Amino acid sequence: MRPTDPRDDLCPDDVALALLYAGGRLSPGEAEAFERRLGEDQGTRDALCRAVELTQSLTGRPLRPRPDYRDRVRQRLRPPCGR
Amino acid sequence: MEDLNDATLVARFRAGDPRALDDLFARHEVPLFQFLVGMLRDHHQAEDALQETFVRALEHLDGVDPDHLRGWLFTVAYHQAMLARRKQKSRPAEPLGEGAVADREPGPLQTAAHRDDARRLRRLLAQLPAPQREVIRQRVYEGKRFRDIAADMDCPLNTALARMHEGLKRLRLLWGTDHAADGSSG
Repeated sequence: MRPTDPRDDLCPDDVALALLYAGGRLSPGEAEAFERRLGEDQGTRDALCRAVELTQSLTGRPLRPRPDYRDRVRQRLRPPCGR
Repeated sequence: MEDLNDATLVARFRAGDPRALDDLFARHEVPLFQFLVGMLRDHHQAEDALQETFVRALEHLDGVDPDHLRGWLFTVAYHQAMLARRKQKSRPAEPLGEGAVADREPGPLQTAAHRDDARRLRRLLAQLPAPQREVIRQRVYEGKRFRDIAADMDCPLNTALARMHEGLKRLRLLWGTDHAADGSSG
C-alpha cells in the first residue's frame, strides 16, 4: 500500500504562514519563531514544503535537485558493511 | 520502485544494497529539497545542503528508529539549513520567487519567460472570485500583512488566510489548464 502523503491534512493557516516565511515577508521576530517551530514540528516542516510546492507550481517549473547530487552522496558514503 | 517502507529500505541499505539508496532518494529528495529551498531561498545552497543531509543522516543511523526516518532526515536537513544560513549571513536573502529556482544570472530567454509568467499570472488572477483575488492582490502585489488585509476587507484573519489558500489552489488549477491549452494550440 502506498503511504499517504503526510501533507494532505495540513492546516491552511500553517501553509499561509509558511508562504509568508518563504517569501521573506515575516518580521525578523516572526521568522525566528517560525524557524523554532521548523526545528521541532514535522507539521510545520510539511507546511513549508507545501508552500514551496504551491509557489513553484504557479510558475510551471517543477522543483527538483539536479540528479548528479546523488553520485556525490554515493561517493561520500562509506560502504555500510565495511566492504 | 517497489513500495517498501523506510524501515525495509534502511535495512537493505545497511546490508549494502545500492538500489535501496536510490529508492530512499526517490522517496525523500523532493520534499527535503522543497524544505531546504524554503529555508535557504537559494537553489544551489539547497542542493549542497541536500547532499550533506543524506550523507550525514545515513552515516549516523545508529539509534534512529527506521520507522521515523523521514523525521530524522528533516531534522538533519533543518540543521544543515541553519548552518548554511549562518554562512550566508554576510549577504541578504532573496525572497522565494524567480531567483530562488533560477540561475543567479538568468539569460534573456529566462528573463522573457519570467515576464511572460507574470503576465499570465495576472490574467489568471482576474478569473478568481473577487474575495480570493483581492486577498492575493493585496498580499502579493501590495505586500500587506494578513491582519491589515483582514481589517481592510472587514473579515476575520482566518477568513483572509483561507481565501489566500483557496485562491492559490484555484490559481494552480487554472495555471495547469492554461499551460495545457497553450501546448495544444502551439
